[in-house]
Amino acid sequence: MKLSITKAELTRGLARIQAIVEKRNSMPILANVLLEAKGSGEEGTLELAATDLEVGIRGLHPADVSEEGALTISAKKLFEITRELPDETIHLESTPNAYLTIRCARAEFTLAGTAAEEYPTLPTFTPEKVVPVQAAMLGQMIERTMYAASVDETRYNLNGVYLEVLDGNKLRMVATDGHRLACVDRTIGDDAKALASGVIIPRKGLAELKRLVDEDDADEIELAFEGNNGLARRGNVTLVMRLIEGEFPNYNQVIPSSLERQIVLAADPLLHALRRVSLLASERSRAVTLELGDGKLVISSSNPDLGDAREELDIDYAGETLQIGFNSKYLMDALGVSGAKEVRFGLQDDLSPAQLVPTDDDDTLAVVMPMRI
Amino acid sequence: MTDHPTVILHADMDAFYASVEQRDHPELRGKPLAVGGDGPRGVVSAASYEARVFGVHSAMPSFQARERCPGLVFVRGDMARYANESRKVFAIFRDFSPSVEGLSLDEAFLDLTGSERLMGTPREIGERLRARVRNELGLPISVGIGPVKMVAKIASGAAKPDGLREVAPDEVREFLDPLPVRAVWGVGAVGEQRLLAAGFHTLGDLARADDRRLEERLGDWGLSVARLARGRDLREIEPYREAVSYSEENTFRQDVSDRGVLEATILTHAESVARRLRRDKVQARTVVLKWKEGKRVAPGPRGYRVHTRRVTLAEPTDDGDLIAREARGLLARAALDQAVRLIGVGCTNVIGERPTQLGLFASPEREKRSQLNRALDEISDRFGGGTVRRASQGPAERAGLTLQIKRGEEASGDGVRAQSDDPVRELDHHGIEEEEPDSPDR
Repeated sequence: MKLSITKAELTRGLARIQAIVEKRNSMPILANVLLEAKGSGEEGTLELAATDLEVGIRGLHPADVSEEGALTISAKKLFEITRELPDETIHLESTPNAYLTIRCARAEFTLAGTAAEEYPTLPTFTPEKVVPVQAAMLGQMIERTMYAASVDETRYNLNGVYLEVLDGNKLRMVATDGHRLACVDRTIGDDAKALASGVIIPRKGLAELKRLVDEDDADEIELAFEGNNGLARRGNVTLVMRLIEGEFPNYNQVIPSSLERQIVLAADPLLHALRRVSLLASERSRAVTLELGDGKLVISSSNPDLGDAREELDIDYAGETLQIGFNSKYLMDALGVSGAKEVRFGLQDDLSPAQLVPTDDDDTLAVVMPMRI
Repeated sequence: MTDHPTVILHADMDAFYASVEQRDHPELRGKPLAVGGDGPRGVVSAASYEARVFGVHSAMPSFQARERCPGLVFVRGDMARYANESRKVFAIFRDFSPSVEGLSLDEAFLDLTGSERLMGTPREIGERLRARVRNELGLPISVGIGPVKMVAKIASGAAKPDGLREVAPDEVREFLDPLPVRAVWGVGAVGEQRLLAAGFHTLGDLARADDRRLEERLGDWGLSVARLARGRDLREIEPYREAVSYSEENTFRQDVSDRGVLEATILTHAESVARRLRRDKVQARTVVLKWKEGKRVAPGPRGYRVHTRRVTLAEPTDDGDLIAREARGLLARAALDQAVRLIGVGCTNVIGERPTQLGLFASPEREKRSQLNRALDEISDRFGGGTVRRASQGPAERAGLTLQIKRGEEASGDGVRAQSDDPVRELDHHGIEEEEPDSPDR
């Protein structure tokens, strides 16, 4: 393998895979990136690939290839070196005994690598049909749901975001950890029909997808799901992942259909009041009490070791008083990602799920189960 | 922890049930009185001090009590009323300390550490507490004060009836040394024999003994008993910690290979553990099954192979049926090829009840079970001691098994200790828990 590539291109490709390369030492080779030079001359490409066996990413980068070949090398070291090199053309060359020489201006490095054949095959499939989705919109959907996914490994079916196609033209993402739920719907057009519905994308794959979405690249991202595999493609980058095998709970039954009490609140003041009051909530439960009364909402917390906190917000409400406990983090998480100026807070009673919806976006929904106080 | 020296108060109602009866029925005052059944199989559950003079004591068969004290008056007893009185007593306790650890209906430890500046000397606090119980409830109570739990408890015994005994830190040795070894917490009949055989008769003998000699003759157990005898109760280092695991286990009289018997025993333990979770208003997420193989693989008391299996649930529970189901599942997955000598069920990963995060997907069935459990608990509270009787009269007993049940409530903080083979608590026949000396817990 012998090629020349710009610093910008190589840095970008290596940065992208850093989160995927395995930090734990279960399989040392997974800490490596697979480099593969293809084609010849200025039309050539350098493919950078990495996997943790669950998620794999592959990027094609224009390079001036004088000799095809492949090699794996420590992803972290190569990235660190590349970042520090001067902004000039970088020359990569492998030796027969799997060493990689990196030359740039007057600097030269030699790194010990491992033969490409030893690298595990990336999970991959060739989709019959891909569905284009606006990258920015997909990013927003991920951001507004992923926070609610469970991190508890014993609930593996909740360790991701459920994705489903509605009415043949809408994409829905749902995540829950059993205590709160987030659900976002967006219209993507009739192409949606071609997308397999009812898959669970794991958190790690989703985080990679979000990273891909956030890159400065083509406006659209292509998605495909087949059996147990998911694929996302944007420009020259392909992300593949194993989906979560398991049944997502019947989430529709926990989304309240009607709520007796509805109050409208400016999102920012509510978020800040919660942040302040939760400072005195117990660190374990993070419980705050909300008291809905005539014209005002009182948020309070108390901690036997510290003291009490209390803050009032004006609301348009004239009904029965309701006292209800919440894990403040759940409310703050939902408010933090909603992007809303104003939210409608729907409550039934102190033991039923509550709902937070931006007043200008009925399709971004957060459901939070209260705490028994 | 604070810089203040630890001060523990042990408050113990005097002949509680009998005192309640004498208070409410003036005609019984001054008479030898026993609360309990007077039938041929009746047992005395409490005896007034007038009866104790004749040698009547609790847990004594009623016919024997009558032999000793011909004029003995029997009262059947009303657990609901006693439980109600107990709530009032504990409400007073809680006015004196935020850390109240109830041991039973009529006794508790109160941590007075650091409260001197606010509330006066320990003796003043103790006298005020006694006065309030006397004035507000009309009941006698004795109080012991000491630097550690065991000393406080022995002191309250010495103060009885209706007295107060304070043992200052520099008086501990003088107070403990002349006591017989049986006075050490967790030393029962068997332990006493072992200590006597090794030449230790009093706490002073133990306190003065050389650690090496103790260890040689009695092992770790000897060291921990001596530690207690010296008034150094390790349980006081971090008093009133929350329990992180609950468990119950039994050793079968004969090794069991019948899965039906094992499953029935698991249910008995699971119900009992669940009841204690509910009593402490906590729930647990991890269910642990433990069993010991009957085949001896090494000499000594630990010469049996012990296995544990655990499963973590999606939602915490305090439901015995669910715990039993999970534990039976663990048993089903275990390849048992040996008869079982001991089996136990435990719960770890304990989560305090309030505030409790409610689950979105909690099934209505779950809610129904929890209502049912609350109702059952109420019944068993009302009839008192039901916890213990049910546990020992369960299928395990019907299967002809030993009644010896060990209960554990560990607060080691890491959860791992839940697997340890140490018996933590032993249950005597009327439900008062005796602690093993090698337990660092309350």
